[in-house]
Amino acid sequence: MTPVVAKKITDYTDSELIARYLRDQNTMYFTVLYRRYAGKVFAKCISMLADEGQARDATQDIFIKVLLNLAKFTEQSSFSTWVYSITYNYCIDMIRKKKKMPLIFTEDVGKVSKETNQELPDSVLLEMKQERLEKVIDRLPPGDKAILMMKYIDDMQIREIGEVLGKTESAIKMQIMRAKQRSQMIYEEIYGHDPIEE
Amino acid sequence: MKNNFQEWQSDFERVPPEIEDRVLQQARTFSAFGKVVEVFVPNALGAVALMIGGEAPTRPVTHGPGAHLDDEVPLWRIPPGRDL
Repeated sequence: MTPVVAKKITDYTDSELIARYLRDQNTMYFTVLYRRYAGKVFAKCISMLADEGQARDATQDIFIKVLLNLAKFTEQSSFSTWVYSITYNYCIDMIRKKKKMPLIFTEDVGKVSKETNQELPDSVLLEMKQERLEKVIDRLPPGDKAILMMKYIDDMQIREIGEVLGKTESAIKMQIMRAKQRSQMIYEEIYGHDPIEE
Repeated sequence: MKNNFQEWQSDFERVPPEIEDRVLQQARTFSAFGKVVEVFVPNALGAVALMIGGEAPTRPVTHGPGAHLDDEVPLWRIPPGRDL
């Protein structure tokens, strides 16, 4: 007879933890979820808000929001995508309120001409040295920053990014293209014609 | 393998421990509040219903003290010769 080995709580999937938390209201299950995602959420908040104090408060608020809305999570997307979408939207709202700026995406800023619809390869960003990438990303409008983070950090599909930001797939494709163009422009402003590749 | 974006992100993933304390403290508070609401609100509503002349919703007591009171007397407890 094979012995039945009890599953460790840390081995539960996100869905199992959510179901058990909703059934038992035992915070132990939520603790595991928190520990699984807190690092990523905190990192996104720091990158978006560029302020550690605000990132701490934001992380706390985001997890409370997640906790209060757990029953509404429908598993149409993965739990991580859901948590990250709350994170990005929270940070964008916070920046909007703080700076009182409705200008969130490159096309709002208007620096990239609408005629330049030249598709840039991913290597424009993926081959940048890390410290240079950091400086370029810091100078992007928050919406562009979020969209590039969703694509290159979280590996989200265009459809998922669209759902997070409430935009159509074609609008997202266009915004990714413009964000890449703007990144290249910023790179050239800072580093001149230094080659991007390491 | 991580790309340069993911490497950049991983530099910030160390969460200050006090955030966990604050979040989980609030989670415990919500959980306790939820349990209190679950226990007392139906009774409070029942009391209000009685006060305004209605009938309080009844729920069979399935466990705890008094759980046996509503049960029918089992046949084996009835002395011989006595009717139900």
